[in-house]
Amino acid sequence: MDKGFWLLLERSSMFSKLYTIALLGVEGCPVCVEADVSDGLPQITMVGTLGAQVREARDRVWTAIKNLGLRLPAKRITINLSPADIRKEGTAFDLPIAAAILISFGYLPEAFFQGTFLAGELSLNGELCRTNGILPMAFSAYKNGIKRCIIPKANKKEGTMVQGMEVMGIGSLKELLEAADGQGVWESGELYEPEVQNGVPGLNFSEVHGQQAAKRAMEIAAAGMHNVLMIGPPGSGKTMLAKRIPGILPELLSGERMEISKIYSVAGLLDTEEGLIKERPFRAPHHTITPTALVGGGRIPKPGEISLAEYGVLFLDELTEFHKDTIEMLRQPLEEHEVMISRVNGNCKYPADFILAAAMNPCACGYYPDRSVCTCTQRQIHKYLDKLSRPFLDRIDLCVETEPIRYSQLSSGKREEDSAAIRRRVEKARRIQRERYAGETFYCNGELTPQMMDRYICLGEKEQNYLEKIFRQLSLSARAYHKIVKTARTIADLEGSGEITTVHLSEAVCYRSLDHKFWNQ
Amino acid sequence: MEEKEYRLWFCSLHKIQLSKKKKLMGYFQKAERIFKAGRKELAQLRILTEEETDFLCSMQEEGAVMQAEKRRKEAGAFFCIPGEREYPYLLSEIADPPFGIFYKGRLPSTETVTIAMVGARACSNYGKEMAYFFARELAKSEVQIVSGLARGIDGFSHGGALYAKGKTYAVLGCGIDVVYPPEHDRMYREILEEGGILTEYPFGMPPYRWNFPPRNRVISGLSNGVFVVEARGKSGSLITADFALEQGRDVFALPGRAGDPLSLGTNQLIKQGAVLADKPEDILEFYQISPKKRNGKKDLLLETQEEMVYANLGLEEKHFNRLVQETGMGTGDLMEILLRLSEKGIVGQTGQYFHKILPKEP
Repeated sequence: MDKGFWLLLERSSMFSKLYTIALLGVEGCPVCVEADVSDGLPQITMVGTLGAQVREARDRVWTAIKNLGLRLPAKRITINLSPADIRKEGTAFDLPIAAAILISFGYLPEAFFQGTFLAGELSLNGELCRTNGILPMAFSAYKNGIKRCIIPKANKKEGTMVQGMEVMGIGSLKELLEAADGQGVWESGELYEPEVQNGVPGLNFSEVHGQQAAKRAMEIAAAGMHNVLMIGPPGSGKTMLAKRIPGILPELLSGERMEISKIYSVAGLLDTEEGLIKERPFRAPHHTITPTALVGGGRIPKPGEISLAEYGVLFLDELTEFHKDTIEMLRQPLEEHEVMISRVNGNCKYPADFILAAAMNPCACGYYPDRSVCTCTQRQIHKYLDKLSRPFLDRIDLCVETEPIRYSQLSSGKREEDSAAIRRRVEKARRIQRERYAGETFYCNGELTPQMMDRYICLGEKEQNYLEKIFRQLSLSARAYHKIVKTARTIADLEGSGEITTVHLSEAVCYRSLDHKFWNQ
Repeated sequence: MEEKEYRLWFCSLHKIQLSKKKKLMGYFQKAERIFKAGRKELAQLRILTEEETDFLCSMQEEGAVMQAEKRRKEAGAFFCIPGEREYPYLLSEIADPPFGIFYKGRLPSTETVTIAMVGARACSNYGKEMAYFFARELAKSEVQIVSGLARGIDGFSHGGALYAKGKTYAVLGCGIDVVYPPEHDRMYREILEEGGILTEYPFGMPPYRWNFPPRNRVISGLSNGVFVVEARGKSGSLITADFALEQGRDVFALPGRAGDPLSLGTNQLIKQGAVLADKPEDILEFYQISPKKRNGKKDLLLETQEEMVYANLGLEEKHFNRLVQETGMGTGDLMEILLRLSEKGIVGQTGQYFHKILPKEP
């Protein structure tokens, strides 16, 4: 007769309870795992709105316990995951279910798990595998007052990213039993100290020759979180420019790093050795991407590219080649800065606060308006541009054309401005904006709605008249008007000027988005 | 019934190609005889396919002649045949003049010089500005401008002439009641005010690709000289120039930069002996027309900075970046000046490319 059997006889209660976390998007919700052992046919029943992956846990747990060398008496085991009305997905429930069963049979003391949550995927031999989403679980557990966690060793670093959390990383179920005997080590989450970085990570703007207008547009986009569209012939440096935007964005705040890391943890892309994500994301999905992969979702919802670009840049190269539906899906996230995925079993929300940088050719052959190369007819050009819908273009504040690079620019040897210098201006402009919008839900000019604009931006009489003149001269739309004023505000902020002057407005006009008159000859 | 009515009937037969009609006319000489020709005779000629012969025979009835006349009246078009007073004299001189012309408005008169202006549809800004400028200046000196109503150079030539309130004529490669390209609908109506639209194709004929080379021979045939504004190495405009030479017309060409693909054709023409025309006076003097005095160089009254930016612009598009480099000004300041210049109507913009517009003095 083994130990478990005698324990079982001694125990009055065969019921156990412990905690884990279920993820909905990047937010976690504490879930109680209950196990009960009673007489009856030997089987495991699991209830509580379980997804397929969670139901599979039964077989993994059963086999893992068997391979641990423990023999479970022939009893009927009932597992309940409550609250029962939340859909549970993912493989992180293996460990808490196994632990709950072991407690019920008396192999583990229930007191040991007081105020602790468990999460992790089991393999058949009892080892714990790396599991996605540990960071957001630990984060929301801590917020809900659960201050200890037992997680797979491979994810230990994610647990310690949460300040104040006591973390135990275990490699297998066996180690869990040993830990309950007092052999485990609790590590505490450290306060994350932002490391001071010298210089700009990655790619530098000093490598881009020429393209002053485009570079300036990137700077404005970075300063005010404006979406930007680049139009130009092949090989004129559109991709090169976009890749350098993260380098001129301000250093990430620790809250932002946590947010990004949570999303990456859910997606299983967090490098657990590296700790929190340090650099702003740059995501450049290929144009064959499906709508679901772009905005997130799927049967078991996962964050899409737009969420993975949180606080960074989403770059869509060859914008016109994307499927029209895919592009249209971006409209709501661009406005709301988050994406809500609704399924029968519930909603989940993923953040999506990013700068959209898009690049496209001016026509099918790519060389318009250089008529010595381009032989597209006006109709073909219009047809090409019509692939983009008005509502989508309305969400893009800056539009810039890149010109073909001439040899003299490449060979001039002229020193181009460094990313670090641009970044300093951007950071200054961001500070000004943060002060201005203190107490609001947004923090950048790019997010201003027309209603908010009236509150925060006022133009002088001279500027009003000037804008009116331009408005008539270029026959602009109301949307274009708002975009110009928003952009002008950012340009003024970059200069540290409180007032918007006619010079700022003029420059904003230069980057006005594609309008109907854009290609008229 | 008169020959003219039969001719109208014959020209309105839309199922028979122009080249076959020409052969039929060559054989029968008169449309009346075609109308009365027997099926056997037509079959012996082996000009028409069986299907076409059936069609022609089915049309050989009085009703069809009336129908053609009715359709003409409904369209508000006129019809004229060689030998009539309205029929353009210059056109009747060529080897194969159209044996019937549908027209609206007027036909070119013989009293003043007529110049055909032709060029690329996908033209550069240089070509566009020059076409407009030349047409305007020539029209001011009462030269009649003939072109093809197509996109690009054709359109700008008509536009320039219309701006000067001159006479301009469009020769179509489709039926007189078909407006092609559709965006020239307004221009179509404006041309009718002083000038005219003409074609040899029947009503409702779509603008088939193969209609255009025969159309080009009419363009050159109507004119004293053909002015090629912009042409690629292989271009329809060069076909027009070839027709002009065959018909003994003068050929003028606007020079372009060496190596510019859009001027390859025109430079080639100059090499072969075409008259180089880099200002409207070159054409006017060729026909001993004393050019109207242009009111000298109009002072644009520009400020120093505006002057500097304007001086950096040309008829070719220039990207904003290059202007930033060349003027050394800030983006905001430069854009402010460019906006001021475009308000004055002397600078144009395509996306972020800017170019000069030749001053539009009346």
